[in-house]
Amino acid sequence: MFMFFWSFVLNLMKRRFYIDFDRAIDDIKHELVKCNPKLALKQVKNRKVKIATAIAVGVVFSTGMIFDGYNMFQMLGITFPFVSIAYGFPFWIGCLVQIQFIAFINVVAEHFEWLNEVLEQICEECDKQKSYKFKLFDIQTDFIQKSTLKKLEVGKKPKEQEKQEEDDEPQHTERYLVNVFRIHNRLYQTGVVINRAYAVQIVSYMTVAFVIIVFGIFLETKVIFLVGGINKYLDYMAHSYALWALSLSIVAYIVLRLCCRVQREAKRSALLVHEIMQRKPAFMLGNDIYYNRMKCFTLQYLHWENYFHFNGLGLFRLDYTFIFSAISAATSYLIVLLQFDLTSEITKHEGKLDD
Amino acid sequence: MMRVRSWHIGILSWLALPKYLLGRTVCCKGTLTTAIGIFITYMTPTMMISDLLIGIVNQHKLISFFDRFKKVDERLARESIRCCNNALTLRIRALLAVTFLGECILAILSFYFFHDPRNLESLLVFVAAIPTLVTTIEKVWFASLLFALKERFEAVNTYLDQTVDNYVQKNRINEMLNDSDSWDLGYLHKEIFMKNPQYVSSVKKPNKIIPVVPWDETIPVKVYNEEKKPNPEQKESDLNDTLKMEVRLNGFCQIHDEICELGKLLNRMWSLQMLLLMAYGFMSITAQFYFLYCNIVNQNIPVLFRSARNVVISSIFIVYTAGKCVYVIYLSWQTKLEARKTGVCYHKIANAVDENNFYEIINHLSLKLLNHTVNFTACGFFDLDMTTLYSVTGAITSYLIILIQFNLAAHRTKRPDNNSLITTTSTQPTL
Repeated sequence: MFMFFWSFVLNLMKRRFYIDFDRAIDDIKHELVKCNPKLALKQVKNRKVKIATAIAVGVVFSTGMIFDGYNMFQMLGITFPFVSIAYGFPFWIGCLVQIQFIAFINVVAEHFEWLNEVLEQICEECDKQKSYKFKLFDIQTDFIQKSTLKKLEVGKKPKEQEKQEEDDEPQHTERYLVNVFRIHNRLYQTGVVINRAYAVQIVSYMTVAFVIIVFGIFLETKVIFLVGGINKYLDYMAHSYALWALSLSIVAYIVLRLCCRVQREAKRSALLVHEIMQRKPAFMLGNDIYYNRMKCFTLQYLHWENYFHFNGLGLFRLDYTFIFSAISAATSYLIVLLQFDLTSEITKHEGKLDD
Repeated sequence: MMRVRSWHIGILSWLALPKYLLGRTVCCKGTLTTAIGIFITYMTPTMMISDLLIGIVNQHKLISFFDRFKKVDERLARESIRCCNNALTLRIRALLAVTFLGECILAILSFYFFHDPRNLESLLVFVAAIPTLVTTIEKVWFASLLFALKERFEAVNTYLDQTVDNYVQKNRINEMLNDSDSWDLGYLHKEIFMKNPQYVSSVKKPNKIIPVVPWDETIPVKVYNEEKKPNPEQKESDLNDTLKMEVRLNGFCQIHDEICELGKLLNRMWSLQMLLLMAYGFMSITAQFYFLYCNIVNQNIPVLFRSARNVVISSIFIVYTAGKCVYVIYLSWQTKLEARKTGVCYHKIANAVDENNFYEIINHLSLKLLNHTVNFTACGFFDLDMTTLYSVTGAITSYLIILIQFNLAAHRTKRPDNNSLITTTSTQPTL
């Protein structure tokens, strides 16, 4: 078990440059998003959730630490800090790596959300334009929409010269559509990079967490129902195992949730683009390129969906489906383990287990 | 040539069979172990014979495969992508070396530990190693061909990526050159380049700055000539020339298609072998683990699995067998991913160029690419994928647990007073 966590540490060292690299890319994305769609910084909204999760994780962790420290103090006396640190260290490291991963994923997810906001904005603008368009149709039906639209929207201004500017002014977001698509693409690429950098860690973390959770629950049930109070050390071990299992599972759950969120947001932007296409906004009518561009984007999304999911070395997808499979596997193992125990007790005709 | 080789080895296989018959008679009487034993004893010869038979049947396919492969290579070369086979040959050699080494070590160790050197019959252990060796070499064939396909996919993808990168870079330089009115400073590009980061970062948005290297160096071997020259005259890359690029992209799509077809052919040729390999790997690893466990708890082990008596041998065996399966699975997974990545690369080009014609071309091609996926399966039973590995690992664990449970129950009923191992106590030391 320690081996796993030490591999984590080694990985951490090895991937240091990767991490820097990721961070650089993320900054770039950030700036790109900021300068293109003129998004105000909207992190504040998310901050609450983040803080809440951080506090939850912190509370669980500190409970584990305090519990460990307290028991160790009782058992070992003065040397307890060293032992408890040595005991809790692998958990800390493992979770730290995961939290880094979470942070990266979170950044990507946020960017996806911003992109979606931009797309939504475009959508809304489509509606506005549409109303304009209908007005126009009543007046002069045979005109090409593009030019008429501008006339109407501008009204007072001279028409011919400022065509382009006007095109941009009222609906200034669709101009960024290419950039949005490019950013989407690059975000996906960043996701791939992050995933590749953390794949090994995730696999080992999930394995260890799975084992610890199974054993934690097993020992805990045993201590509660069968052999509670007989052996102080065993009790302590079971409790601390259960606590750590809890914290590990929380971190794992957050990882899964964020990965799901990224996928969902990415998918949503494709849907939004389809929505835009269906609304047939004015800027698409005169110009074929928008249509082709959006089609290209949606196709690209299909390709991406085929190509990339957040996964642990391809072994499993980081999805809610993974939770399901993990839980089912854990249940069956637990049953097997309990069965072992019960049969042993029945055959031995003894109330206790030897220690 | 192929046929001669096959028959040559086929004769050897018949030599190997008696040993297996012998092993079976020696095998102990426990029903479970007998069942497993029979299965595993006959597994390797069956594998070898099926390998050889299918190899003989597939000779023509293999030849056509190589012909088509050569054509693909020629087409790639026409697009001035040179696929060097150095990595491939290196890899084949390494794989062969690993195979021979593994087999030899296993045979020698088992000979050393469990056989009497004075007895001539014990030399049969070396003969018994032949079937696995042959089957493994067959798998090396598969793996190397697969690797070659993967390299082709990768070549296409990197080419596309580089095209995009070069295009983006070139645009940036163009902008900069336009700004600084230094169009004719051909060889001074580098210096301008050097100024580029500060320039861009100070004047324009503080965007990502692509690592500033003169592009002679950024471009590895697999790039066509026009882009290599840093002359402003030839700055009109193919991406600007829509027609040319359309032809080229079409060509790439066809190449991709052809490689996919090759992959399917390869899969068809080797699917049964893969199924057998996976079954064999699963069975033998489970059995080995089980008997290793038996050995650790000091129980009797049937003669057939006496290799489990030694921890070193059994660990080598497990690693070696698992390595075979995992390597094949990993390679096919990677190949699949690379094949899928091409579509993404195409779209990246479209995004970078951002022209109407381009979008039309690429939308058209990408639909084609979406329909052309290569997938490696074992006779259609399961994908050769990392998810399979995951499920197989889970299956091995659960079977092991069941087997061990049986074992424990049997021993408890025999000796109820004996303090046998209990899971809690066995987990405690690992804490």
